[in-house]
Order: sequence, then structure tokens, then C-alpha cells
Amino acid sequence: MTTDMALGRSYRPLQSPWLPRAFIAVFAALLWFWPAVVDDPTRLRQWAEYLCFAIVAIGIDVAWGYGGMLALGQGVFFGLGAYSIGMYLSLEQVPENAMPEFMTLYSNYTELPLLWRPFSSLWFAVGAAVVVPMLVAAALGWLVFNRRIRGPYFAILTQVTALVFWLFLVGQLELTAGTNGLTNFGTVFGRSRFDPNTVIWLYRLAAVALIVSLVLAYRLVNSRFGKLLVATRDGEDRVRFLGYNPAVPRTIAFTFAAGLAGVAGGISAPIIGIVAPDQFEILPSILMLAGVAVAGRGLLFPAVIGALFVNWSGTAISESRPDDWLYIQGGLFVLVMAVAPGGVVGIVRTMSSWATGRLADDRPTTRSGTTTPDAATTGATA
Amino acid sequence: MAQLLEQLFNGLSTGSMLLLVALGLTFTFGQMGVINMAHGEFIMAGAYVPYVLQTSVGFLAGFTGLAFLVSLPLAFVVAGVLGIVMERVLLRRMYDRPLDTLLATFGVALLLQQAAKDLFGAPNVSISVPPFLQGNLTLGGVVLPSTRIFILLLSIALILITQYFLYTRVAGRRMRAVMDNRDLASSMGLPTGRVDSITFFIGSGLAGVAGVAVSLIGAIGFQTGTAYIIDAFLVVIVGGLGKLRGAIVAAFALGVLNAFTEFATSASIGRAIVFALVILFLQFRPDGLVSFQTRGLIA
Amino acid sequence: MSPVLEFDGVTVDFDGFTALDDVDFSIDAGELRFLIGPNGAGKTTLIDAVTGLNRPSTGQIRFLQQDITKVADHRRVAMGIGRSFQAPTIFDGLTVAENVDLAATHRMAMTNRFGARRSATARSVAEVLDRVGLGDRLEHSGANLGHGDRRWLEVAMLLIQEPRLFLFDEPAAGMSQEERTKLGELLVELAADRTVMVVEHDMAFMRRYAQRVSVLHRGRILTEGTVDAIQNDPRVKEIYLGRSREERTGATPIVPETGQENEEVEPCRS
Repeated sequence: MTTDMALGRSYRPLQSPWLPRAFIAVFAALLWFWPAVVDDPTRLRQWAEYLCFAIVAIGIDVAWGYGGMLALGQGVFFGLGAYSIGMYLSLEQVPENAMPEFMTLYSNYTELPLLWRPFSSLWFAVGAAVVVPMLVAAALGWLVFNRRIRGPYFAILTQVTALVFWLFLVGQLELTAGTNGLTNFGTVFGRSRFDPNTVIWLYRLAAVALIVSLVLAYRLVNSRFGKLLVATRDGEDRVRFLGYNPAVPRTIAFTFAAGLAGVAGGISAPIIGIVAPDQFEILPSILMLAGVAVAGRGLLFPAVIGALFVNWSGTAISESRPDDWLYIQGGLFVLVMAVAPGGVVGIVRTMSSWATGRLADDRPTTRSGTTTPDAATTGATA
Repeated sequence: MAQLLEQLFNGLSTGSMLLLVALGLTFTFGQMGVINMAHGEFIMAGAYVPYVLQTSVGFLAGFTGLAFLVSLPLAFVVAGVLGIVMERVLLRRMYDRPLDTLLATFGVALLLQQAAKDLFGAPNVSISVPPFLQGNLTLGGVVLPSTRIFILLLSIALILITQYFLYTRVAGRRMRAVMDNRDLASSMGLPTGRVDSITFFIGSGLAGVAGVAVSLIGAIGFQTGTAYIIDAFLVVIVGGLGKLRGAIVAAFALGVLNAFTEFATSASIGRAIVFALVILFLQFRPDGLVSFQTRGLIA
Repeated sequence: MSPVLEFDGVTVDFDGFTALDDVDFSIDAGELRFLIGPNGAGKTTLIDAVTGLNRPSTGQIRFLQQDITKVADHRRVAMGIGRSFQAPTIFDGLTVAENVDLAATHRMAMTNRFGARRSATARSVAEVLDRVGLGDRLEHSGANLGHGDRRWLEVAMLLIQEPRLFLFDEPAAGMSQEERTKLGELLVELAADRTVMVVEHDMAFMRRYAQRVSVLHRGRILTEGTVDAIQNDPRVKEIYLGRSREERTGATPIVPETGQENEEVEPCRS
């Protein structure tokens, strides 16, 4: 084997497979024309909501599937995004520099508190919806990952952050409206929230955000960074002895996931129409993982489909049999983790490798201890 | 001064509650490394035991005190059986996948919550506090509710019992051997699978007893468990994995800290501050979380 | 010659067990040093101490005259210390080429890692993989490699980092005679302008390629010298033969008088 021969072949260390691109293109087109299929504004609003949770799922998959970090507190970042936009929307309902309705009821404030003031600017609110979650995640991640806290301990700590966040929101009644949350958004971004056209407009906003998030995430996991992230997941110590600080890729991936959750939360605020602490508690935070777990972690497109499917069936089932939904969710987690930890994708993979394995067994094999040329190309050694 | 004493007692009381809910976890999480998210629901199951005995079981229904006392061992068995079934059916196949275990047990938690809702209804219920635990004790100008003192004594009693079991009984010594060095214990012929089941039974059973204590201090409902699970894990993490002494210190330290921060601020902000302090604490003493000086590379 | 690596009274404790006991040790630039000793002598512990996998309780470790005792492990790699592991550890989730690319780009700024594709290292990655005989499997998943190939891939990952000091932990284990020769020649070649330290159980391999040998016993450096000097040192014979006699394993001659090839040296390797 000479060097020239090796270089003669096209060697691409970082692939850009065409298949996901085709999927994304078709998917984008489908999303765009979906409102024509779902005619009812209420239904379409629900679909817009599912899209938001699919964006969160992309971030969860990057952190969990590719980075091995089980982030169980994504509701915190979703909530930070939702509150940013929710605060803007609350201020949109009242005259300039006036206090939102709940504040005049619950608080002793005589004028709009400092924390609220910048949120009368849409651009500040949008920026905060993305940047604040990322800053919180970066700070938390950097502290935690540098102390080599990972795996289950990290998962528990993310739950703790969700609990702290909830306690804070409930406790600061005067600033956050407590458990009631921010609501009564009659107009969103200058349009009536109940106008069917507004619903379509919000739906398309969520769809665009989803596609952009998906493309960004694909680029991220296929870049050198993505390979480093996977390597860190599989062998943190080994990565360290290649000269990397594993805390760096971990923190970046966790921050990215938080940013996506923030975006999704921000978009969800006008869609759901209420921003309240119970939406961002531990339980809903963990349920944001369900779609990724069912579809199979470690591939982005299936995670999106999984999130859409789980949220859609959640609505369908809880409408017809509300009491069974908790059973089904619980059963899903138990079943997937116990029987098919790779989710649907894992099942397909096992089946296909089982099928090809059977085919390979049918072929004559040499048992001389040397590798056949055929075996060498498939990477198998005798 | 009396106020200080009162807060101190509140702290110790909260601490003993924390210790009770975390004690079972020092077995299942601290020693076996299983993140059992259903631990909270085992507590819930235990909490419903005195309620069921007092309301629905024939001859006990009239005797709230007797029913309460019977419920202590019974809750241990009920929760323990739940635990052993889960360990046998579910966890056994996923010991090498801690994150999957966490999510699977979370699923079990959801199932148990819905089951409780179906069995006992969605609204919260309360037990009748047994006559001998009603009333207060006044000590140095501080009023101490009898239930709180009972919980404090119960936590001490359970620690003594578990210590006695671990250090003098054969099954307990086997458990310690398996937790110390699973491979060695296995090669010496100890039935590690059975020992795991016993460990899980005891850990879950202790959650059940904690549940009985929980039923004394407030209403119980299908979400009772979720209120305690995070605290319980934090106690074990702060105390250091598998270190009972650490868990005891951590529980009372967190309890007292909680009492004083809540007193100084408000209930929810106080708790938020405590959690923030815990994360900060782990920055300086992550030993509870990771304590390794290994020879080889665990990749 | 100035020393590349120096140990100054280094002690490493594991929960009361002293794995390295007040070790003084040094390697000069350009050496090909072998480190031998019975199981549990502290050989891997010594390498771990150099790379930062464990922390000495006392003493100082210097690399190129710099105190690295408290330097974070990943920074030591950046300073020029590279190691391989007893059990070859590569990344199953990545292709062969991606594994090497990851090793090659460890000094690259994090901000340059987000680009979609193209790699300035493609050429050197392919070259290094050709050198270890994996040039025809660039796009194969790491998970599909056999044990021997995993070891070679790890060597490739080490080579491309061009460390100043190479630390090999039992690199020849599980290799065929042919592969051992290839590996030995590679070690000699590396020592021409780098420094190489090898922990090895295979005495035949050691005799063929070692320049100097250090013998570790019970956490202390027992002796150091040329291969001949070590082979004739009665103390070295004692620790190997004495052990094997105690264990009644038929006493394979560990330091054979005749000098013929001898595959396994340790009577009781796990």
C-alpha cells in the first residue's frame, strides 16, 4: 500500500450526506403547505405548538443523542424564551410605560419595574429569548462539566434547575404573576390573536424556525465539532488524552440546545397564549424528551418526526380519553427504555443488520484465519 | 433566642424528613447506582397505606392509632414489593445503562401516579393523626408538635435498624460485600442477583416508611412523590454516594439551612437559594459526585 | 542531553495502597526506554502520573524542565505528551479517518470546528493511516475494527499528534510476530528525533528494541541499565523467578540464559 494510492481516492473526512438534505427539502415543502390540509385554525394552532416542541427536541437530541447529556430541565430554557416574549406581549396590551394588568392587581409597584422596561422593545425581547437561555446554559454547563459532573448526576442537576426556576417564578408573584402566568394576549405583534390569518402566520414562523434549527443542527453534528462531541460522549477520558477539555464541547452543545429551547419557547408564547410556571416544571421538561426517545436518539430527522408524533397523539388521546394519556406516556418510557433503547430507528437498524447478517452467513466463509478480500472491505476480520 | 431555637427545631425536623425520604436512596442510588425516579411514588404508596387502613380495613378503621402503627411495617412491605417487582422485571436488564434506567423509572413513576389517581381519586386526602401524636410539647418556650418529634425519632430508629442489619446480619454483610466489589463478591460465589433484589427491596421499603411519615405532616395525593424526589437525590449527592454518614449530615444541614433561608426570605425563594447553594457547594466538593483515583481508563 | 521527563520523589497513593513510592526517574531526549516489572509493580501508574490520570501525593514531575505536576491532563497533551492505552481505546462512533482527524486537530481553535467540511489534514491523515496499514479503511466505522487494527489506529492517532514524548502501554500485546517487528521498527524510527517510553511484558520484544531499561518493583525503581546489564542482574532474576516459584506455575524462565525468543513472560497475566 503506497501513499499515492491512498491519496488517489477521494477522501472526505467530514461527510455531507445528500439523504438528510433531500428529507429536509421535502419536509420543508410539506410543512409549508400543511395549513391547506389542516383547515381548522384551532387545529393549526396546535400544529404550530407541536412544531415548537420539535425545535426543543432537536436541541435535546444534540445534547443527549450526540453528546450523551441527558438534559431534563429544558423547560427552564423554553420558559426563559417564553417569558421574554410573554413580557413583550403583556406590554403590547397596555399603553406605553404602563404596567401590565396583573401588576396593578398584585403588586405595590407604582411604575413599570426596571426588569420589565426593556421588554417593550420587540427586538430586545427576541434577543433575550435566545441569548438569556444560552447564557444560563453556558454558565451552568461550564461550572458543572469542568467539575466532571456528568451522566445521571448532570441529569439530576438539570431537574434541580427546573425546580429552582419554578420556585422562582411562583415566588416572585409581583414580577411574574405567579402561578397564573402571563396571559390575555389579545393582540400579538399588532395582529388579533384570534384572526385565522394570524394563526397561519404564527404557524409559518414556527415552521421556518424549525427548518432553520434542523439545518443548523445538521451542520453542527456533521462538523468537526460534532465528531468531537460524539467522541466525548463515547470516551470522555480518551478525548482528554487527545488534548481536549471535554467540558468545552459539552458546554457548547448544551448551550446550543438551550438556545433552540429558548427560540421555541419564544415562538410558543403567542401560539399557546399563556406563559405560566407549570408549563416549565420538571414533568413537562422530561416529557419534552419523549419524542426523541421514541424515535431513537442520535439522528435528527427522526427526532423531529418523533416529537411531532408524540405531541400530536398526546392531543388526540387526551381529547378522547384524558385519563389514559399518563398511562400511555409512562408505558412508552418503560417500553422504549427496556425493550428498544434505540427507539424506532434502533429497531429498524437491528432488523436491517439482522437481515444483512443472515445474508452474510449464507455466503461461504474462510476459516483459515486470514481475511478474505471481501471481508476486508466490510471491515470484518477473521 | 426562642425564635432561633424554633428555626433550629424546624430545621432538624425538615432534616429528619429529608433523611427519611433519602435513606432508601442511599441503598438503591448510593450503593447500586440506580437512579430510581419512582422512589417518590414509592413514598406516595407508603403514604396511602395508613389512609387505606384507617378508612377501609374493617376492624382497624376504628382505631386510628393502631392502624397507624400497623401501617409502618406494612408500608415497608408494600413499597418494598413494588421495588422488587420493578427491579426484577425492568431494571435487571439495564444496569449498564444508567440514563435509560432513569427514564424507565420515570415512566414507572407516571404509571404509579395515574394508578393512584384511579384508585384514590385526584383530590388530596388526609389521615387522622393518631391520638398519641396529637398535641404539642413545649420546651424552653418553643412549641414542638408531637408529629415532628415522632418523625425525628423515627428517622433515628430507622438508621439504627439499618446499621444493625448491615453490620451484623448475614444478608446485610453480603449486601456490603456486593456494593464494595461486585466482581469479587460474584467470584466468591455470592448470589449478586439475589443480593441486588434484597437491596432494592430494603431501599424501596424505606421509602414506604418515609411515606407514612409524610402522611403525618400534610395531605397526600398522587403528586406527593414528586415533591420529595429531588430533595432526596440532593441529600444523597451532597452526602457522597453510598455514605450513610454523609447522608445524615447532608440531610440535617440542608434542613437547617432551608429553615433559616425560608425564615429570612420566603418559602419558595428560600428553597431556590438552598438549591443554588448546593450547586455552588458541589463546585468545591464534587467528591460526593465523583471520587475517583483510578488506575485504568474507563472509556 | 537534557532530560525530557523527570520524576522527583513521586509518590502515588490509592486509598492507602502506595502504587509509586518516592520514585526518582528521568529520560533523556532521543531515548527509547523500556519499563518492565512484574504485575502490580506500578508501571501503568507511572505512565498515568505523567499524563495526569492520577495525581501524586508528594513529589514533582517535570517535562522539558517545566513542573507539570498540577497541570490539567488535556494541557499536558498540548505540551507534547502522547500516550496509548493497554486496552486500545478508539471512538466507535467515528470512522477511522475521523478518529485520526480528531487527534490531528487537537490544537485547532474551537471556533474553526463548525465549518461544514474540507480538511487541511486530509492528506496527513491518509498518510499516517497508510503507515500503520489502515489506508484502505478510511471510511470504515471504528466499531468494525478488529483488536489488532484498533491498536494500530491508536498508534496512528498518536503519530499524527507528533508529541515530544511517546508513552506506549503494552503496545505489542495481542500482535502477531510480523506486527511486532513493524511496531519495533516504528519505535526505533520515532526515537530518532523524539523520546519514547514503552511499558512492555514481552521480554523478547524488549531485548530486540530497547536501548535502556528501567525495572520497577513494588512501586520503586529497582534498577536501570542496558538490556545486557538488566538481564544479568540477579535482583531482576529474583523478582521474576522468585514470584513464579512462589506461585508454582512451572517457573518459565523469565530471563532466559540462551536468549531465545520467548513469547509470554509473565507467568500470570490477567
